Amino acid sequence: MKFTKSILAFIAAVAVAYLLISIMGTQFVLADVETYGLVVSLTDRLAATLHDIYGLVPVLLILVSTTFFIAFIIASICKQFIGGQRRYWFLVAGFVSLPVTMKLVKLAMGVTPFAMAGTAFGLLLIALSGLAGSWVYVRLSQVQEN
Amino acid sequence: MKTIGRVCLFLFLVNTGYAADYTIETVVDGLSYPWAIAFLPDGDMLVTERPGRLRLISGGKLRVQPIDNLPDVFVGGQGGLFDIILDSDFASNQRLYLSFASGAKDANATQVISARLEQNKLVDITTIFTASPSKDTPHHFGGRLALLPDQTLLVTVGEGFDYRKKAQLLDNHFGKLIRINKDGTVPEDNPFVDRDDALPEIWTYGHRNQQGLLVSADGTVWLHDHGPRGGDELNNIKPGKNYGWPAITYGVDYSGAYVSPYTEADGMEQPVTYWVPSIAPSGFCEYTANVFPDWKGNLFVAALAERSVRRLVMGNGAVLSQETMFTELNQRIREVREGPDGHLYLLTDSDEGQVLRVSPAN
Repeated sequence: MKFTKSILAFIAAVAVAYLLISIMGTQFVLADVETYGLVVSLTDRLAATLHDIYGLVPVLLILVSTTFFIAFIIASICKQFIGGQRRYWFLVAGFVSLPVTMKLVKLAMGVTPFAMAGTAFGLLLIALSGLAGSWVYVRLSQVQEN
Repeated sequence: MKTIGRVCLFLFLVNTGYAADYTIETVVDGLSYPWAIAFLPDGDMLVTERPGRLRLISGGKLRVQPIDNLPDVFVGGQGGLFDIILDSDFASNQRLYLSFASGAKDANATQVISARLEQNKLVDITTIFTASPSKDTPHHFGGRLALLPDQTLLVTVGEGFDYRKKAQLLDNHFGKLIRINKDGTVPEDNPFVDRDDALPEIWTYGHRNQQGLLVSADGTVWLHDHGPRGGDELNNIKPGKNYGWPAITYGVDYSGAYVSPYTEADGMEQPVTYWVPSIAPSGFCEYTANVFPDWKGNLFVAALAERSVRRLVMGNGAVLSQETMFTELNQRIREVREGPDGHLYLLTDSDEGQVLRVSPAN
């Protein structure tokens, strides 16, 4: 039961972070498009947002899942060997892990994997999305903690 | 069932019949990622290798020692030694032009030099163009060269991947087609010379990673441009025009997200044709000889990802039909050029790269 709850909490955490990054990423790109002189209608904005939520699945969803999987394992190990409150380790892991992943991809491939990750503000939003995802994980897996 | 059988037989005959129209022979092999080829007046050839070597093929054999005295080349990612073209008066002045990535990992740029070839050595080397500003990505350099009939030089500069927004701004060289004089000065009739907010070398803008550039026999300037995932473009180039990247595109980002949801906009040029999915075009020529009469006037586009060459039958500035050729090689094709002998030459993109010659079967 605890294991199932933990799995469901993980899926929810990934979904929240993924949706936030995808939705904000689209708005970042559309803001750029408007700077080129094009007018983005609400209909186009909604369609583009939905397009990206679907389109990013093969890359971003896998990236967020893998990152959270590794980050949450590290958070658990830290809790076990260093001590402190479990929730803080997971929140820190959620906040830090995704920007670190973006930077690692840039180091490995030489380019930024998502346009949004190319600015400090974009990276901050990605970090906050990770924080939101990890908060969901902490909340939903609370029984396991208690 | 009988109909399907007839169709299969027809396709088989068409394919085998077509394959008999040409033969492909290896001119030389053992090249490391050959990028471009130039045909010298005496029948020799010069081939650039992306890892930073210029090689001479003399008498059908690859000279072991590379051409000496090349400038320092930044080799990394897609960066390295790129294009080579000969001066129109090469026979008398031995002058050539080379494009390459200069600088280092954290600050590199597309650069062009003018030099003379003297006894297997470059001499009298002058840097005539360096893209500005530099970038910290090893991708999207552009790097193709072509001479216009007025003897000005065109240079493609890619948008550096992470710098795509700058392709729409005129205060930098990212995502631009550059036009300079052969000594590096700016022609007075460039379209943006009178604008304070624009760099004067810019001829056109809104490009991504242009690896095919061609001035056809009738003076038309053609350029093809790598799209992201889909959206490779063939463009008819007119000075001063905006070709749209990244405001409009028929492709999506490698991540699967939109670069832009729009494919057209006022004030931005439409491609003559585009390829979805990507074929990854690199290398370009117009066939003008008589060795293959059926190909005369066709454009040939080398394709890396598709491992082919596209033959484009043109009419009234449009692509009337396309044929995918040389897939039997199963090789990434970096360059396609018409040789002075009227045969077609291909460069294969690998660390065991080859120069191949396409000749009539009979």
